[in-house]
Amino acid sequence: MTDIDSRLTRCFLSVFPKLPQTAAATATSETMDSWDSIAAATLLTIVSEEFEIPIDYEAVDQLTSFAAIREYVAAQLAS
Amino acid sequence: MKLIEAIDILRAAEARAAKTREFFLACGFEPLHLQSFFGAYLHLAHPGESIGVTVGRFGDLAGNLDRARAAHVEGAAVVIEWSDLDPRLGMRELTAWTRERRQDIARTAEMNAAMIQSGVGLLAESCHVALCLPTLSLPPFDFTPGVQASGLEMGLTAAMATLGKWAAAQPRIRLASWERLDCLSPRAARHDVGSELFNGFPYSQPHADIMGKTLAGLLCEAAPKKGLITDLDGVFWRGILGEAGVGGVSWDLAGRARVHGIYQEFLSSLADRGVLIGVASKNDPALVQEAFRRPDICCEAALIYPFRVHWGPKSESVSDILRAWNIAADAVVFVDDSPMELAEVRTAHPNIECHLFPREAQKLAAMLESLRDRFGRSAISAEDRIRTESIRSAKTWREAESRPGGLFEEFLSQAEARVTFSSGKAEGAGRRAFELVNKTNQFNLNGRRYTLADWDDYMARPETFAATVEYRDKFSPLGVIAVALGWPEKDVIHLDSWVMSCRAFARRIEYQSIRQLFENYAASEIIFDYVETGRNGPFGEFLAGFHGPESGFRLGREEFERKCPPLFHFVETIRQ
Repeated sequence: MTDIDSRLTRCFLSVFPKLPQTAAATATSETMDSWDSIAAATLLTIVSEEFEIPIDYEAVDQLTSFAAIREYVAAQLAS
Repeated sequence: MKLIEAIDILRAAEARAAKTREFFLACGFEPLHLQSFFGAYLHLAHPGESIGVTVGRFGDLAGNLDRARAAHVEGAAVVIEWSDLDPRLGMRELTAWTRERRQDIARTAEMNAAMIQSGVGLLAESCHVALCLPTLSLPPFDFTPGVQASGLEMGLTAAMATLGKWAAAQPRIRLASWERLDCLSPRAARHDVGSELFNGFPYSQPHADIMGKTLAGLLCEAAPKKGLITDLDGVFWRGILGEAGVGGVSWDLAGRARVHGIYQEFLSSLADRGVLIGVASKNDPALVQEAFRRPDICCEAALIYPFRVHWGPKSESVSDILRAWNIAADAVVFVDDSPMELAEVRTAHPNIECHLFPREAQKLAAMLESLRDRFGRSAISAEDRIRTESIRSAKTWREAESRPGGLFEEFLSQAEARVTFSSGKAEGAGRRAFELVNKTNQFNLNGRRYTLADWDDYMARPETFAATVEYRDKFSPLGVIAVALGWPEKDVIHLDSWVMSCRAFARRIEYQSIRQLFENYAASEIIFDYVETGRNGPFGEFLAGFHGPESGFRLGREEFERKCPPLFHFVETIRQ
């Protein structure tokens, strides 16, 4: 697990405490009932804090899975 | 605090049982992270307790004030933003500020401000309210350049200032300081426009953190410090009294010592609001007395009690002063210009808060700001103002108490003691009674504490009474010093709470209170809901003077009169 993965997993587990750690990497908004608009806003703020990156609200609609958020974080850190 | 930390605090608290404290967060925007921060800081203020935070509906601040009132909570945080005064002042419903609309916006804002004031006022009848006026900047739609204030902007600000002036005068409303928020949260970094547009939540994460902390802090006021012990040379005045002489020490501009004058004025203002001021100085007592006779002194000797001036260790002086005040070291601040003296005092009294008196004027301002926070309280009671006087008289009482029996009786009989007993639900059963019940430890029936909602519920019950006792004698007034909560059932009184300030010990006021309860309620027996708390030893000793203490202690009128010592008070009864 990369540093980004482990830090992102920590963010996910904080917002979704019932999510098993092993399932974090495959989490999506479609498979999780608790992933509502408030959870999404909270998750993205926590991710923004954790990685010290801005939130692109235009891209929020695409940030609906662990994988998508991971990709977004990696791109922001690289830019 | 980071948002993830706030959420972790909330998650840890979720595991606990039913909520013991309920709060409401009323705002017109989506509360989102503000709710998390507010909840987390409430948890930190009440460790080990379970706290619930209820929120209202988006875009309906006025309705949320009603919902908060109906929720019967302990406290409510009310956050106003410009869009609550008129949606056209917020980003989500921003429209062009044409000439016609500007006038309409001003009118609507004024009308909504009045409606919010009314709602907040009603809410404050049921719970404590922390109120925050708009913290965000207005949208950049005005016709003046940003550096120039416009009439609309100043009109809106004036409407909020009027609301704030009203709120600051209300006993149950605590208004967040705009000035302090400006220091803690830079204005330019407060607004997260993207979050407002997409989530309906307008605050940046750092601003939400500061707001949550401020609101929780207003609702969970930390116990203020009660006393300040100060050094003299290099602190109260510039110079060494023993070397420079009485005329050689200074605290004015001419002597380039105005910082010491400002410090004296600050102590004087603390004393005026009931903070105890004591002096611990290594000095010649006669010289100190002479220095305090100088006509230009800013903090007079009469405001200070006691003076401990000798050449022994400062820690001994501090111990003496704490004994005279009868308060613990953690309620006291010690100020000295010597790091070594501070260390010596801190070693002997680890809980005392020590401040090094700064040499630079700028640092003095910072220290005074910090002391303002330590001693700050939301309101000042009549009892606060007479505290020093009553503590000074306590010394007379302590000395009298140690006299042989007959002499003490004589002292009591000549004290011109006057007890005012207010039965029913006295006006005095307001803020002062509420405070006394919630802060008294030693002479306390059972240590029971009340939230404002509990208190109001208790007062609303038709069968209950809240009797208060006010005391004065020829040495000093003590103000309202005892409260008894209970309810009569035929000729039996059930006492749910009974507290008396430790400042009132030795005057036999507790006996007079019992006698008045028997007389005023035509009772033949009192049942005490006694619980040993570990801190209410003096109360247990009082009951031991009869046949207690024990749980459900019952005292008959005959036994009371048989064992009651002679009482010399002049009693005035006020029936409410």
